[in-house]
Amino acid sequence: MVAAIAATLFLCSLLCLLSSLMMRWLRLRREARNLAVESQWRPICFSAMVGDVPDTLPDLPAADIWAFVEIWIDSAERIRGADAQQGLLNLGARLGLAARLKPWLTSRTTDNRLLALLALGLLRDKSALSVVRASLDDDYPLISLAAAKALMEIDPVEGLPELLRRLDRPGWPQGRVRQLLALAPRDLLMQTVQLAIEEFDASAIPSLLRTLHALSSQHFDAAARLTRLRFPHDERILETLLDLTSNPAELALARQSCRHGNPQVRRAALTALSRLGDATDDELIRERLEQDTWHNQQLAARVLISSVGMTAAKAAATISSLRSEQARLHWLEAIHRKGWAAAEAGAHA
Amino acid sequence: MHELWLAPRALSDGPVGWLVAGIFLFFLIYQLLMTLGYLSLNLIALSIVRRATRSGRDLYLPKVYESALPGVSILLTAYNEESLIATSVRSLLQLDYPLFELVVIHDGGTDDTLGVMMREFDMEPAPVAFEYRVPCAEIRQTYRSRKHPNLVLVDKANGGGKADANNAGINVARHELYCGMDADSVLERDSLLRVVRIFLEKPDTIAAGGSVRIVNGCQVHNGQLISTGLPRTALAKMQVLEYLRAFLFGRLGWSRLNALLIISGAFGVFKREAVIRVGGYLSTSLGEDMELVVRLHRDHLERGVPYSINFVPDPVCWTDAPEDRQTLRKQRIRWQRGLLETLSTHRSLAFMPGSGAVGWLAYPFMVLVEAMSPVLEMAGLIFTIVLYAAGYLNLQAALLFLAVAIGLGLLLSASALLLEERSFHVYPRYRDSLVLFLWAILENIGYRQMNTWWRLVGTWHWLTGKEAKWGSMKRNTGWMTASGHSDGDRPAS
Repeated sequence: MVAAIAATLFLCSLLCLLSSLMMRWLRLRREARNLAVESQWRPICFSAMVGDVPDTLPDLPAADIWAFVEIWIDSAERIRGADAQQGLLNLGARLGLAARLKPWLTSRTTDNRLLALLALGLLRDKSALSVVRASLDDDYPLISLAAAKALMEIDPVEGLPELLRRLDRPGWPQGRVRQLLALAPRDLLMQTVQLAIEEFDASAIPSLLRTLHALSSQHFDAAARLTRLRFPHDERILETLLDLTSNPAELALARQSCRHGNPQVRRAALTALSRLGDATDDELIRERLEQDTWHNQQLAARVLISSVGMTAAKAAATISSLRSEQARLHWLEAIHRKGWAAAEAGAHA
Repeated sequence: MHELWLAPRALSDGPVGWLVAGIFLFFLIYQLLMTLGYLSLNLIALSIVRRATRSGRDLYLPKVYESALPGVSILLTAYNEESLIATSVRSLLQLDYPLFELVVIHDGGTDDTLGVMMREFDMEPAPVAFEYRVPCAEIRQTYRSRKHPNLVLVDKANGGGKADANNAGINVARHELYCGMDADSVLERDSLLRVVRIFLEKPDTIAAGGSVRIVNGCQVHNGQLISTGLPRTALAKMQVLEYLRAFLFGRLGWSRLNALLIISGAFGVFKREAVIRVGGYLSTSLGEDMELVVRLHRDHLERGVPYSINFVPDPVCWTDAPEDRQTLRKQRIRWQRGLLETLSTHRSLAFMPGSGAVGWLAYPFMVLVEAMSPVLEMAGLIFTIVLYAAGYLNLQAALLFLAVAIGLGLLLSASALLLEERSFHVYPRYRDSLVLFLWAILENIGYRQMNTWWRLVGTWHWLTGKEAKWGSMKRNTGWMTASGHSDGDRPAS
């Protein structure tokens, strides 16, 4: 029996080796085939983008669909523009892509599902909506993001609120979500975000504000005022507002928040002062440099060194006026990074 | 069945016979459990490796733009690394990542590492505000590069080994994440980008490690990996296999169970505040990388805070493997000691209520399989020799069991090759797979026993409390293409 086990193990090992060699052979063959598909279909995709598709198209065998769809999506992503997109859509329609890809939506292979979601989204195929909706909460972030992208492309009116509800979904980096939101028509987007700001609870507001700020700083100010009215005592919202605002009307709030009990709020207030403040704020910032958390001291030094009217001589003079050793270190580092090392040397002398 | 017993007929009756049968059964069950453990990890890894490495498809999704990525401080510890430091620093400065600083920590070495840094990167003394938030030896001076604003050099007093040097780096680091690196390692350009992505995708991630591969046999020019290949020496080839097994199915499998106990010191990214909270690296530990990860697990489990420690297999770090027996011996003794120290320090993790796969699976597995295997392998060998000397050994059965043990090892190596083809296919030629398979057989003759012996020595050193040293390792530089260029030059066409 032991001999049989040993022989089986050796055989299994050999099988693993042969499988890996076979997989390599198949991979290389596939790569060669993909190159052939690329050389045939890439020029056709480019022609389609300028509205010049040949009357008769070559056959697209089932084995080549995968490679073709990759080229087709890649072309669509590379060159944006309504005409180019429409040309590719026409090409996709002539090849019957939607019908050929739909079965992949329910495939057990993640790669197939992913590619089908991306392609059907680009094709704006409404009949795929039910599967797309169901994939929105897939536990694999790439699938759920692809579904969100497809939904936004097929039906932004339905997609926008769904997306906003999932802003804080783990696995959905905000940068990506913002780009998905940007797929929606601008007016619809602003209207939906404003509505969400009026309705969502406090915990969802900070990421919503960040999103709005990234999409339109102009609409941000109005939304900021509104949220301050709705949640006057929420520290996370206050921190977010100060972190993002460029509105001079918020200068008083920034000054006041510099002495807030929460270090994160003080940090955001310093950031706000770096954008909105003037020379009269130097003393307030110096106070933070003298006595705050390490991170806030570091930020205070950077804000102060960049403040209007700060010169090498003034910076050097500030060194001796600082009381704490830690503050001096932050300040010396800021001076050095500003390129005013000579001033520092002068002060030491 | 009698023909299967190592000492069958002569000892079949009486207490001695029962004792021998008991010992034999113990080894048999141990071997079975060990194999079952590894095969399970293997199956888990096989089932998820494609998903874990699927990076191409997301090219068509909106990119994670720069503003969304957290800053990273890369900590590069260097103790007498004059031959490699410039290449490593150059390689890291070329990383494809929007916001990072590179902090090189000169750990009071005696060679010209500091001089090389000064000359190659035009460093100048510069004030850097920092606090000693985790304990480390005195930081004597900080420097900044005139050429690269994100390059900082920390000159610290020697003492406390790599752990202490890393702690100095953590104190000086500016960003919320830090990446621990060895000076003999080279990162692929997008490795940092890929590994940091897990911190965005799983916000409760406190640490993540990437795959480490052997750089010997590859070609690196001006810090860039330009070709991959297998090393020439037998020792290095066998380490290629070990690394494939360890990283492809070992860590991937454990990571899936959220029970990863090791992130290689050669390449791991950590949340700085989480590490500061637990007190940084333990400078008395020889396995400081594993010790830190286990302590992070323990801290979060004890506080009941949700967290995850992940392994991302496709960010690849290439590291220099020892090619001489002396250096390899030192390394393996150190690893074994580090493992035992860590496991004994954190023994309260074993079967800790609420500790999940960490306390109930990974920790016992580490103790039984990783830590005790050299002792048990040697005991098995001695048991066989004693039986042979007493004339009781059933030679045929012993040879068959040896064949099974070799077959199991071979199967694990072969499945690692399969995983490799299913995921990264780093080694380009058919010949490479065949050569590795051949070495998977050959490693059973001599190398495996030698390794067991070194680990046994490590166990002995740990038991007797022999003074531990973090010495410099003999480095190979054959994988670096000779370059007379100074910093910033391009490879010759």
